[in-house]
Amino acid sequence: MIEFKGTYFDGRSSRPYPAIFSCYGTELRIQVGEKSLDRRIPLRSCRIDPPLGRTVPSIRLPDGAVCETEDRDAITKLDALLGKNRGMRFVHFIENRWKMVVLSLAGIVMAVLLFKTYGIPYLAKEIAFAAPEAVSNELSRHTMKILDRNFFQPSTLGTKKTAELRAAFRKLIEDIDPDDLDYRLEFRKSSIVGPNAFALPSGQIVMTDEMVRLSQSNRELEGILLHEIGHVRDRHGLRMVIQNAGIFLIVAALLGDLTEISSTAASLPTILARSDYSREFERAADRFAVHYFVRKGWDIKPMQEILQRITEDMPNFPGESVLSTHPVMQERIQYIEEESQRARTSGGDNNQD
Amino acid sequence: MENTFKVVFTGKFKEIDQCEIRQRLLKLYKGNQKAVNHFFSGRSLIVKKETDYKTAKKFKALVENAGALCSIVEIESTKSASLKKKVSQPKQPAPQALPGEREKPVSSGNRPLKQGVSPQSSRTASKPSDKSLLSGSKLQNALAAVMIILFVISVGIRLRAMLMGERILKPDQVESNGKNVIVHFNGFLYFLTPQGKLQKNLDLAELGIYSEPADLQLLKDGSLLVGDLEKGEILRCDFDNVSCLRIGPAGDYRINENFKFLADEERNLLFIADTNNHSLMVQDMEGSYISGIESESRIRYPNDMVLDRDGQLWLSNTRYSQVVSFTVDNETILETEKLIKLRPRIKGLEDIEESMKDTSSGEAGDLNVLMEKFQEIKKEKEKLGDDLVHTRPLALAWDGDGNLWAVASDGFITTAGVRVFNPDGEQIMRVALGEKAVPVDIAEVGGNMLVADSGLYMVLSVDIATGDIAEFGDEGFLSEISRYRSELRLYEGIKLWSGRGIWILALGTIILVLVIIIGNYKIRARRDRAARAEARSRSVVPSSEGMQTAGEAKSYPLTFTGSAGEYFRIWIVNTFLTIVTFGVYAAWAKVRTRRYFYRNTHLDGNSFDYTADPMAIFKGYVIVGSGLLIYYLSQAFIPTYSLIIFGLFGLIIPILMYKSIRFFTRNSVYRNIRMRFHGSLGESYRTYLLYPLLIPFTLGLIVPYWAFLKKKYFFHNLAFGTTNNSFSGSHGPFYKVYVLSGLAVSGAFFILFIIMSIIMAAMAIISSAETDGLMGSILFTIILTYATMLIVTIFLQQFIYAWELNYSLRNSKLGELMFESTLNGVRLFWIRISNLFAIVFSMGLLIPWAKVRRMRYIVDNISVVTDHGLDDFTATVGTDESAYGDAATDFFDFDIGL
Repeated sequence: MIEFKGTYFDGRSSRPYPAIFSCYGTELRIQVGEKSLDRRIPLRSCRIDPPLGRTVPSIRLPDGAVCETEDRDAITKLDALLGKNRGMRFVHFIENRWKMVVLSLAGIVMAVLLFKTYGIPYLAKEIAFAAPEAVSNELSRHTMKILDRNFFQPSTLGTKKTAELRAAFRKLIEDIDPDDLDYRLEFRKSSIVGPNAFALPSGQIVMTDEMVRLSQSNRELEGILLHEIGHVRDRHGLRMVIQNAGIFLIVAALLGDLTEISSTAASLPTILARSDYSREFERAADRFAVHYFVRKGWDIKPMQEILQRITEDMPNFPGESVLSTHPVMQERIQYIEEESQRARTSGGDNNQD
Repeated sequence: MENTFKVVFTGKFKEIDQCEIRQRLLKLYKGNQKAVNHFFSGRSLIVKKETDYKTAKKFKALVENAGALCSIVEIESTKSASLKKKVSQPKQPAPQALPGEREKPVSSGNRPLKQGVSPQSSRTASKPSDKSLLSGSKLQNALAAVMIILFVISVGIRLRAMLMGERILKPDQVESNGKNVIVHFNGFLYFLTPQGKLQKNLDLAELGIYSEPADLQLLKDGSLLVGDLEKGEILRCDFDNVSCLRIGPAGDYRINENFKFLADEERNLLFIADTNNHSLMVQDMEGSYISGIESESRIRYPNDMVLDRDGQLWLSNTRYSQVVSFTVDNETILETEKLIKLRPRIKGLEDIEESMKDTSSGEAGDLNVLMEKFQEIKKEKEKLGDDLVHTRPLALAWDGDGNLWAVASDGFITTAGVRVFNPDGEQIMRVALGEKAVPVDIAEVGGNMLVADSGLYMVLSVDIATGDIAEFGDEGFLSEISRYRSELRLYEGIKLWSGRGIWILALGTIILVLVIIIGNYKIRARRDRAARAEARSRSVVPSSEGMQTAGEAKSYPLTFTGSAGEYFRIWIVNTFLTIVTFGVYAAWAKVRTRRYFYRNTHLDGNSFDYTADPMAIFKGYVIVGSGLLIYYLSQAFIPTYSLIIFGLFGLIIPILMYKSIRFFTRNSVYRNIRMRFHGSLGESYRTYLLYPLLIPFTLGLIVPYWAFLKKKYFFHNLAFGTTNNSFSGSHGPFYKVYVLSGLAVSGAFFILFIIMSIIMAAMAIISSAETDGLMGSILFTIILTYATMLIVTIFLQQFIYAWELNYSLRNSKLGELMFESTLNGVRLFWIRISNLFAIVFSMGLLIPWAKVRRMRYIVDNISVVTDHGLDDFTATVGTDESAYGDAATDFFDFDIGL
């Protein structure tokens, strides 16, 4: 028999009644002296709120009345007797032990790191390759429209130069034969963007006039084009979009119940993770280009030289290495050097990522 | 209802020592000096109002025992207004000792008496109808409506006029091949003889050109070259069979926006000046690329071109205020050294610069000499006049004597003039065309220069020898051009006047809105004053019964007992389980978190409870979460639709707010009695959609009013069991707080701005040499600005949050129960800021600590005051409709402000 004292709320008025509770086998007896009430209720029909910290536990009766008591032990016994709330009792058990909490914390950190490094990129890759072409085409069309409206003017390069570059591009594509995407090379003039090239998921590769003017040989531009082809071949654009969404979801899940903190603090991890991803993709694209160069027996110098020239062309802005999505150019030049060594020793293997 | 009575002190005392009477009264009123003083003001006074005869008699006896003579006055049957009030407030509120004044003539007893004694409640009661802030008198409303309608009409007229005016293209091209003159305006080409006789006209649309032509040129075989501005193409058009052939630009070259061209038939060359791409290109007449120059350091915004007798090309290099010359040799285009500068040199300026250098080298310059030189320069400048302004060459033409005529404008093509230079680059003449003239093109024919003027809407003929000016064209041409001119002038006039009208009307509407708001505010203030005065005059000295209960009025503080350590453990486990269950546990985690905070908030020995069913919340999450996922994906892939979805979201926000408040209140329980929310969906739409939409139209003036409405929506419709909460706040204080904090913040920003400018200036001086330092200082400034913005925003948020909660609670009354809230905005700001730092530097681990800390501060500063205890609230019965739909809204976690 379990017996304990507590408070009885009849659910009709806000008046608390001191009461004595006792439990014989399958029955809960409630005695309220003030009301001269003596109820017997089958224990099965009662509901005990899941235990939570050191808060006052309560029993809910089928007619809406509630019993509260400070006697946690008694409630625990009753709860065990009733056999409900197993899951929540286990949660409570973990919550009450610091060791378990520390383990959970480690678990969180591990889960988040694993998910960030492997889970999200893996899922993003699967989705990106499975996504219908229409999605990437639509995405590219919109991106290009926005860019054209805000940053670009039509190219002013002569036909001669563009035809030459397009032929070189065609040759690269035929040589690599990546997949059935519609690879296209386009030129745009933009004094805002400066020397740059980028790839859209649909296979459209855009190079600025400024980039062409900055180059001293077509080999240099071939390096740049290969880098962009690498982005397209491995669906980096689409994967980036999906990964960013994934990061957004993680951060929302971690800090979701938190209206307390301003979004500023929450946006920092998102930015860091994003720049991390972008760095990965830049490296993968560089690796692709370097391996092609090595396989062809071309010198990688031109690739590094044009990067060097872009660096000199850009204004020197402090803090770039942290927040910029492109790894600092020097770092990339260094990476190309190292990767070419590796490629040479491994025989120009092109199967990466 | 039975007749009621009141006890009135007659103003007379028993014939005992007044000190004695004072002592006795003081005893009766438990030492309330103020109340007792009223007895000695020499006037009559209500001692007890609206009571039954028995109690009245008891009161009379009590007070007369003390020595003050009283009489019992019967009040005639009370009216329904006070009856209603009585029903909704079953018990008299705890009376407070308030300054009682003179008793009004007894006849006032005919009027229903107010029950509430506190000024607040009497104020609310005396407010007949809560008139909206923006409703004026009938006249004002009508006036505002008329003004808004006129405003809309004016905008419409103006837009229409602008559209119509823009469709009338101004004369912007005049070309000649010696035998014919061709002029363009309003989309038509007009062919004239050199004498000005109109031969024919041609609609450009017939040639497939729907914009104004970029440039024109008549070829020797009678065909015409036209530049299509829209497509960026040069067409060769044959008039015999009205057909055009694209001949430029060559190959892949794409022209962006404006351009000019010039065909050299003898050498089979076509020059293209691509204005906005700053390049000059040569191709042949068949469309093959030959050569090009693209260097912004040499050419910027190239414009019109002419060939001189030697076959050299002269190009107006607009931005550099030069006319430069080129030769084509061996399929390449080369710049020659010959050029004409349009920016006149000011004599004397160089001298001064020289002398300045001397001064800096130590020799003190004579100030008088310097002043003299400045005077000279001033004179020089006056002499040069418009030559200093009209420095950008737009169009060029050679006259028979080998002099170059140039149409030159200012930087924005708002004014322009014609200047004539000899081949050595010296200006030999300038042609004054009149004040409003904006010449844009020029061509030579038969000893005259023809100037197309878009400002005057005319084609002028200037005699090269004499400089005489006349309007060009025969009667037919003149009538044609003047027809469009007058039409354009009409539209311009309409545009001007409708523009002024718009401003006047907009200003008038704003003033009217202000007048209405101020008027309403005044009316309200007057009403409030009257109500207060009435309340004062009606207020009675607290009855002895009141005194007793007032003595019993007790404050019950809310206390918070949660601990950071405990919540940390719950939080970590919640997060962990949420992650490993891929978010499924989130619903349970949320309920657990809320319950933890509710269960640890205590009032009078019992704690609150949160009873939401996690399963219901989970189902809601699945529905709303998938909707949001679709939204996010659509945003990433198809931005256009997401805007529509966003708009729809705005439409359903009031529903979400309404449902989420209902859900949140229903699941808040104290002593097994649920809270309730009786607000309507309509009111939610008014509060969360209508008023936010009105904000821009009132210049943000209703923002404080909106804040008030949000609070009112929640607090006025809140109930605990069967007991409704009444909210007696008004928007006035909201205005005060918002305006003051707005002023404070702008002041802070102003000071900051000054400090920043000083820092920037100092840094610029220190690091003027190195760009790195400058960049650093800019970055520093950006960070500083961002940090300040953040701090100011947080401060405003916290301050207003604290004030609004204090105000709302203090003006709330839950039956007999009143609230006290003593939150301090500054303290709350400090908590938020330090929390933010703690969270950032602990990498989020201190989130639970921060949350508990803030919660504790807020809860511990709220208490309830009542003289009837907390035992008498009753629950509503049988209205427990399903709340599953409401649970879905929990996903959005709306901040309701509590």
